[in-house]
Amino acid sequence: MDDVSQLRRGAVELAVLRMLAEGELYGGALVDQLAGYESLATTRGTVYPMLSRLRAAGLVETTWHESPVGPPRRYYRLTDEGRAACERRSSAWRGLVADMNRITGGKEPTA
Amino acid sequence: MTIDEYVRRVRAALRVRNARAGLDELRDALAELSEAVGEDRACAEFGAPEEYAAALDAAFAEDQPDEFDPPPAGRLFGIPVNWSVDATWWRRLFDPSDTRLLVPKAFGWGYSVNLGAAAVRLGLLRPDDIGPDTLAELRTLDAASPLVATAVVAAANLAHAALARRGDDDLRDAIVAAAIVAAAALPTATKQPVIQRLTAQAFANFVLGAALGKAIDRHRRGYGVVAVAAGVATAVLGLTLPIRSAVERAARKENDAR
Repeated sequence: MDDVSQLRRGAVELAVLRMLAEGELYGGALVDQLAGYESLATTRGTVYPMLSRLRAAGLVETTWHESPVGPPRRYYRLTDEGRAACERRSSAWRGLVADMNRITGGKEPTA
Repeated sequence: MTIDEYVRRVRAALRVRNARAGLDELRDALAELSEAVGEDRACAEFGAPEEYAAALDAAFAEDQPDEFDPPPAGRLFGIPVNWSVDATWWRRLFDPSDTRLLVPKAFGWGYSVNLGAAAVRLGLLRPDDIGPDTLAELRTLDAASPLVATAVVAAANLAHAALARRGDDDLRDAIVAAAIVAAAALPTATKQPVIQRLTAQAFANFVLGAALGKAIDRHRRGYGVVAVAAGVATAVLGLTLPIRSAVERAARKENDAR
């Protein structure tokens, strides 16, 4: 695991929660939406285990919908607990970003 | 408490092998702090050794385990080795949410094929088709019929290898395949969850196909691949078809409840 992976893990999870806060989605759609952001793009090998963890933690729940292609498809949506966690983490994230920008912003690394 | 004792207790409580790399840093930090406040006080300020170990584990963990994650495999000469067997062993052989085709062996040293990744790549399953709701919809009969078919093929192969005197190599392979098929029936015999029965049988089909393929190839060169392909196909389909049925049942059940 490289040093950036640890930073990305929390960010991708929060991004998934935010996307689900907008409405229910299936796993493939989440992967596609994340792919629209260069720094958040990831594989389904990361997203699906993450969704499984979020479901085990009670932050998301699933429901089945008929699919135009193939068997029914599992959709994910936030639970009340997930919605609260999403707001809490979003707020913490904004604080972190503001502080980290003050620490890292505009300074060139010294040799 | 002395620094040595504190570090020893942290080390004993660690669960992630890689986390031992953090012990030297811990010792240095304790030594530095102890110059100002003494060893006992320095150790107290670092909290309970078990809590420090848990924090180190979290920092060095490569995976965040969830309900389905199998135990992390150790390594011997850079190759995964796993001697633990728990209720999630089947997940190493069949995990559709894992994109890797080759995964650490469910038991032993080396790698095995992740039939779940193969099923997803073939478009037979979706990565998140496995879940508590679909597992609950798997039926005992789903596992029983394929087991009988596999056992019949393995027994016929063994009988033919022995009676037709196909040779020592054929007989040895047939015995190994029959033993693995018999072992694959253990989850059924001990009434384990259906997914464990199905996964064990899929593995047995895989092995049986390889054994038959080797035997055929010895007598008719180039034809063994047919048996190997049949083994792979029955392994993958024997797992995916019951799961697809379970998905349909889970969706129907949920719709009926609405």
